[in-house]
Amino acid sequence: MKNIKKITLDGLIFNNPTFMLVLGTCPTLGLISSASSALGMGLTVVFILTLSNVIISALRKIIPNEVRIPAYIVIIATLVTFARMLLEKFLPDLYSSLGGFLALIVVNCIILGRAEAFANKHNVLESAVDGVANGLGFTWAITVMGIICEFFGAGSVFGLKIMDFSIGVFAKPAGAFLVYGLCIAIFVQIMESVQRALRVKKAKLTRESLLSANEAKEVA
Amino acid sequence: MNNQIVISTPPHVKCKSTTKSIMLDVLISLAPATVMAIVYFGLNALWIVLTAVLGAVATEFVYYFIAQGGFANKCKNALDVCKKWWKQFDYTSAITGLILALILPSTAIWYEVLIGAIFSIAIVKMLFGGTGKNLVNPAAMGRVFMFISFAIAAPVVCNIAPILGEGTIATGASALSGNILQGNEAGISYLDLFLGTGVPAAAIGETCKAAIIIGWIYLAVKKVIKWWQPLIYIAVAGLVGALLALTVEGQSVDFINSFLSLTLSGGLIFGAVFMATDYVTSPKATLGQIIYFVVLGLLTAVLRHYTKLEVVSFVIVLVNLIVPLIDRYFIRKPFGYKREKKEVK
Amino acid sequence: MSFKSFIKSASFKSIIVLLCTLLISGIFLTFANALLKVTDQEKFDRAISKIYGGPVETEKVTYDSKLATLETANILEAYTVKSDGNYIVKVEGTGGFSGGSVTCWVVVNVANKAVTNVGNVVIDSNLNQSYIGRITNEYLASFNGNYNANKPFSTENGYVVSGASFTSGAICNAVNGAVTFVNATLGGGVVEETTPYDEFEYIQYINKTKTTHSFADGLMTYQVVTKGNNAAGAFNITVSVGADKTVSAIEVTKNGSTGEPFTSMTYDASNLIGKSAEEIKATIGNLLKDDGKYNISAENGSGSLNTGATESSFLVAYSALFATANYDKALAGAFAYTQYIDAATTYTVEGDVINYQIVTKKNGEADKFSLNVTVGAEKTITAMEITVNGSTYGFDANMKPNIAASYVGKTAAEIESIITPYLNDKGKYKSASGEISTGATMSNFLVTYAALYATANYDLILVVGGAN
Repeated sequence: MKNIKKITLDGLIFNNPTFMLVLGTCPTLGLISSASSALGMGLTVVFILTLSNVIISALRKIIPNEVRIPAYIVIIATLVTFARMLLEKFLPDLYSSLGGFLALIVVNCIILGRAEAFANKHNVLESAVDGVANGLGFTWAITVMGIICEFFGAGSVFGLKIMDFSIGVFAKPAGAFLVYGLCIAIFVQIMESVQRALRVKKAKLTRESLLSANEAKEVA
Repeated sequence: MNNQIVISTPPHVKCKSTTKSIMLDVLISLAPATVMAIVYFGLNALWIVLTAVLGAVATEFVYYFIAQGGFANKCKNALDVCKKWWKQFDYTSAITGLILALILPSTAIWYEVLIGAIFSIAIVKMLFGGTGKNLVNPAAMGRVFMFISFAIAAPVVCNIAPILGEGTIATGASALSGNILQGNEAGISYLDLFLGTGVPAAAIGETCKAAIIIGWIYLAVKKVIKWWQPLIYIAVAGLVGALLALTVEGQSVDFINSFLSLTLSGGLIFGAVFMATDYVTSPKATLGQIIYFVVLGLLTAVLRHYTKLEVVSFVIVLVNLIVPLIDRYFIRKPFGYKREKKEVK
Repeated sequence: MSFKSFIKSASFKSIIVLLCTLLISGIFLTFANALLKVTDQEKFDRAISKIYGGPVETEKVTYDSKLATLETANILEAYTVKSDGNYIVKVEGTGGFSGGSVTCWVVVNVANKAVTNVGNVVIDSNLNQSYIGRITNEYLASFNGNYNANKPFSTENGYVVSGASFTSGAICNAVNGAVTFVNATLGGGVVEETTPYDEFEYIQYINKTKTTHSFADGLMTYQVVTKGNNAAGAFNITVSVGADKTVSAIEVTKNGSTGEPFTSMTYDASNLIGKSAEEIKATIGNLLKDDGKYNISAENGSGSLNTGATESSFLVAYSALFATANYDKALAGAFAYTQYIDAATTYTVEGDVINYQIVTKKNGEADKFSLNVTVGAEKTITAMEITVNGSTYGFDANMKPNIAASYVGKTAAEIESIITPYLNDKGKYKSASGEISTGATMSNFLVTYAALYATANYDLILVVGGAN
């Protein structure tokens, strides 16, 4: 169970694919100008990533090492095609707002990266959790950026117009790059201070336990 | 930049000029253009200048404050940090703010100017390392940012389109046509363009060329810039632009008219004197500098001809980005270097 | 390597694994495709329901291709909505920026076999409209529900986006075209309205529905609205032609060039004053091909119209050519009250006295009448007699007694007041009560009409001169 918790936290926060590993930037930059399409892209990636991790993990003993990359690509491409068909049939609005980026998920580094780095070394359950966690990490990251970009670039959030004033740069890829860079900086800053606080706390605890152990010894 | 001890290789030459003094010189040279801007465009121009300068300086201060831990320790060090900042303040951000203000049209709104100034200083300059470390000219980049984001029309140069008549310019751009022809049927004469009288809707600092040239002379005399640098840029831009204009169909103007009108209009002279000559973003070697200005002139002429917009800011940003490449191939002669004479046997 | 060791080796396993993966994926996707395929019909339905604002079942309309080509719009596809009979029309409106067009889907609301209103307007695509990004959803929504049969949508009455006026004009043309098309389809008729200019020469670049002309003070004055010519938009030009068939005055009231500097470079129309049709044609030179179309490859020539805004200058000269070359035809159309006058009518002019030999058309049961009418210098009838009485079946006995003589001494205004109750707003006979309502009103009507024709056109004939 502890393993599962660690995997989840890693995927969501500590090894966030967008902010920490800087993977899968292509769709990130293309879709940030609208929060709802960013959210849609993220959820699609969660779906595909989980399924691909599960399948690859299940097949990890069968696929020989030499051909693992082509095999993974075939599996991922199949899943993406299937997802495309599902979207086109049941969610046509999302399908048209994703446009060409849907097909690009095949070469999204996050999926191939997690397959390489995790799925072919761990069992099915853990791979599934990892897929969900990374996917959700990716989703929340680009949704946050999407909200920022849409707010500054068009004055709306998820399509609801809030203000009239807008700074045009943020609706364009240039602004998306800017926001991405700034978000990474802020995220890393927060991460570092959180980790520093954790370390300090840990050190304090250790110190206190050592001290109390010492006192106990002295008393005894 | 807080070191009191500077370590470097010989020869050691002590010189009076510091960053601060050079920047003060630049401020003085910008003064005539600023004054004329306020004279022509009134209160609007004053607001723009003040907002930009104060915004730029404030942004630098805030950034410095946060970066130097002014908020750490529950603001106990706040006063110390403030004092430190004032000590190392070298007017560079004020100049950026002033230049940015002078290349804006008088219709710019104060919050747009403020956002542009914040962007120029915080992102283009401070994030990359502060004074001396920026990759592109902050004012030019700020102008580009504002052009993309807000509905500030790049002041359309009035005579980029085919010119009619001799010695006078009829309008080329629809945005200006109404204004220019109001009460001035023959168009604008070259003297008007030079002095900036009667020219509507252009950037506030660019209109009076005479003031800019005074600034140019001052900077050259004070050895802040080399006198020939802006000249190359302006000459190349004018020549290439005039040549291109001749190829337009239905043209009936001669070369001299095209040349004069292209050089005298828009942000060319201002950009050449104040923005392109920035130390940080131009090459170090002399040959490199010549190439830099020639490329600037070429790009400006070509882009102006085809887009009919004021492209000086864009071009400066673009060419700034290839300056490291120029620097790599055109290495500056080391101080005191003399070529060894080959021995003749 | 022996076969057995090959089977055990890694490469064999790799190949097998890859092939199996491909096979399984292929089969899986085939199944998925079969289950989840979105057919073209479904895609189309989705698009239509998006345009219409809700899910609908539609039926494709087949129509005459003659109905599909209008003056400023082309109908590409049309569908009726099964539930309420509304039309969804895919129409291309011309006259856009730089000579391009905008293709829109227009919903036309129909009730009782008539157009009641315009619904959603959605842009499908465009040609060369660089400023299409300025067209907002609010602008498109402004068409919804604002149909006015007497006032078609136009950039002149507010349906315009500033900075994209040509594009707005094309969209207005598209919406108007859709409405006209639906009107015609419902009424079962050909859309092509007849204009007075259908038989004129040089109408290729003239907007026949918007151009008008009138005759006054001896001058035939046209308010010409041209069509676009490649990058040049439509011009509005006022041309006056005198009896000598040369241009006596010409003024460009709306310059349709695509903005500066072309507007300033357009050929100066005053150079055409005093020129006849042949001279104007010579000025146009080889810019006009023999088939009547604009010759774009002659743009770089050295004629006086090759100013750098050649396409605009061509339109200016073309309107003058149109005006002068059609002077006679226009004159023929300038006569008033010709609806019931047959072409066999003749007249002779002696000084300021005109002798008409009028032949009327039929009117209901009344057959053609022939009359001799003389109109004198005071613009009154000095003599009038019926030479052939077209009254049939003995109705002539019921005609107004001495009707012809009763008009002697009357002016056009007086005769007009007698006949006006019997004319509907299209100038045709309608039954009414009045002075000439006897048992043979239709015949009386024709006689009165002839008298009115004679007196009303007195001035025109005198100025024009000669016999026809």
